[in-house]
Amino acid sequence: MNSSLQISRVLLFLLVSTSLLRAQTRQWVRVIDASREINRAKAEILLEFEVEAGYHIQSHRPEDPLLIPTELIFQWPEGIANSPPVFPPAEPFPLLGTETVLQVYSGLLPVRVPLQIEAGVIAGEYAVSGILTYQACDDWKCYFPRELPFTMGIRLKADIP
Amino acid sequence: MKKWIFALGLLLASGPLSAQDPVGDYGEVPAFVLNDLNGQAVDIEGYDGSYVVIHIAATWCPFCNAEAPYLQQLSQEYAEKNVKVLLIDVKEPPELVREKLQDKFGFTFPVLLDRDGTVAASFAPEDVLPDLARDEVMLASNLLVDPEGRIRFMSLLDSRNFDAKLIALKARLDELLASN
Repeated sequence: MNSSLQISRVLLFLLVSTSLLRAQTRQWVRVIDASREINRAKAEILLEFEVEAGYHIQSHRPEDPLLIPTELIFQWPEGIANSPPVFPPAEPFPLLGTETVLQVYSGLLPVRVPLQIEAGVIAGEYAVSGILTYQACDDWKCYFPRELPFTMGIRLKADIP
Repeated sequence: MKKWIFALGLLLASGPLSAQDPVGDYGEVPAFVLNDLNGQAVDIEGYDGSYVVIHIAATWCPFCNAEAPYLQQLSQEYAEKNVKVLLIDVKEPPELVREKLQDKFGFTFPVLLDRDGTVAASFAPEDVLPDLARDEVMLASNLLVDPEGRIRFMSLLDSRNFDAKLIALKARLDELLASN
């Protein structure tokens, strides 16, 4: 076998492998912003996700219990915990020819996350990780549920005397 | 390349494949054997000589659930016309599928388990959906296989023109039954 043919085959293999990997890990939601500074007085963060144009994801409380709700979980440093995330109102998505109306999110998805911070947690920088679970559809397909892992840095501000 | 351009043109011109598709023959149904909810192996070749409607679903798929009652209705309406129905559930455990699909919708036709999605993915026509990721399958799709084992109807989900009542599938079925 000549070397150029071998190289072509290797390149083709790499191209196909890369495409497969990309297909399997493709996400339809991304984190676009997160508040970084936290006050003890009003302890919360605001996370902003974006659902790719042309897609929608199920709301965090779909009426049909069979559907996959959008869920957000966090791993906080010791002494910090969150209350249930506050999602925005969902958009109705009627299924033509049926009485079913899905509740979905599309476009920007701002989520407010109230926090409880124990007194012993000192001011400073902390790393936080989280996972957004969702199930996306476009007009042509519904996709298997995905988990979007993310990390972010937050800064707990010192108390103002 | 020509086939790809043709397929892309077809999509741009007429949206998803449907009974109106001028081709009307999507080739031979891929061979498969899957277990049903009772653990019995079901071989598609065992259905030679009958029309077979294959529906691809998952319990969490809203469009699949919306079509489910109409699929059961179709199986009863066409039972005397040599039409069988099979549902292929993708990547879910049998207990969940039994509770959330078969029992919930009272399916009287076999519900098959495609635990790794390989069989459902094998129906994806490569030339027709070039952007179909290979770990995905055509959920909420319906296929109609004729007695010779050829796929004569294939609907892809089209949520903006959703056909929950399976009107296009039934029209194609009626057309084929009438031509015999």
